Amino acid sequence: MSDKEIFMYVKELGNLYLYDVLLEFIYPRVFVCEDSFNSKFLFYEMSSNHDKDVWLVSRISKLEYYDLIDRKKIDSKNI
Amino acid sequence: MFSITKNYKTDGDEIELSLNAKEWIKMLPSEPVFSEKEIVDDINDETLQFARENNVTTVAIRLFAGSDRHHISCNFINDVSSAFTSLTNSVSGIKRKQPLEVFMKAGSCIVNLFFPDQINLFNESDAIYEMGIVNEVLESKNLSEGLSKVKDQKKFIESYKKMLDAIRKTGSCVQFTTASPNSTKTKKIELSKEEVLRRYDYIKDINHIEKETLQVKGKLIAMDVKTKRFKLLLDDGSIKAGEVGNELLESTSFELPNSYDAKIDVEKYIDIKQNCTKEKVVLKTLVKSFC
Repeated sequence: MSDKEIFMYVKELGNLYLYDVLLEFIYPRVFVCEDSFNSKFLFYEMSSNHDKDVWLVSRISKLEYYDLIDRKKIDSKNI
Repeated sequence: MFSITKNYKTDGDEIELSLNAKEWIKMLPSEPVFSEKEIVDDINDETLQFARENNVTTVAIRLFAGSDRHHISCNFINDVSSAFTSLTNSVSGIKRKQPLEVFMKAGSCIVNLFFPDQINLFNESDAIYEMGIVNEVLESKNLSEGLSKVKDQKKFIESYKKMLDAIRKTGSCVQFTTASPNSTKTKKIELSKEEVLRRYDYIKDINHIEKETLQVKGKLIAMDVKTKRFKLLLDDGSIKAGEVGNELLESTSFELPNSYDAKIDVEKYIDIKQNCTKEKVVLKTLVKSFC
């Protein structure tokens, strides 16, 4: 993970790295971050201002749910 | 579920995690954020705007429902853009100098294709004509309906097959929205995933279609107006059966059994090994025979 750029440091979670942006140009933006142990977190944008952003975050607790947010896996299935 | 707040400050951003996210959860939308109609309207507006501002005929290909995400693979984009380039080329039988250009927004499920050249004095391009024919084929249930206007039919079928295959693999429904620089509204065609699959299965073994028109004499032995089917017993004892053309049903009355001179269109679907895999027979005219 050390070669990745740190997206955000949260005291309780440690370094978070941006894994994938699922919705970028359509509001609300949705993206996935992972921590140093490859645990995935789904971020859902609640509000975004010039001085403050708020996201609702859900830790993806089960490995099988990773398929739902893993575009690389879905692409390979489709091909 | 928890919330993370990031406060942007000049002396370093502050990031807070709060386990009490109930208030935020209440604000989550209970319905999809955008309705289907809003998305369709947006695509219409954007496609039209893009075509008018850039003076290019534009096609927006959107995948929806069935694909659970707003994402399409690079393979899909490559396959669809190369298929559409040769599809439109084959309409006039002339190879375009440049392939269709792709424009898409990141994270979007919409691929915009636009034609890079051929704008004439009246701001019209061959692209409008070519897309008109492609849309005609997309709109018709049977491939052959628009195909008669295509110059290079073999290439058209090959490209059409490639495009359907790319869409089929995504498991999604598809919507084609076309706009030209001078148009005031878009042309929309929607195909369900079942329809994409049906068309692909129908066309996958076809290499080209051969058409011929036959003048035959025979006795009309069956005619079902509801299902538009007929049976004609020819003088040599063989039976020709098939569909009845729409114009014929509207304009003629029939007597059964009676002898007729008939004009029949026969379409033969030829596969790669030059075998005829299907034959479509359409009855075009019936004239009472007096001999």
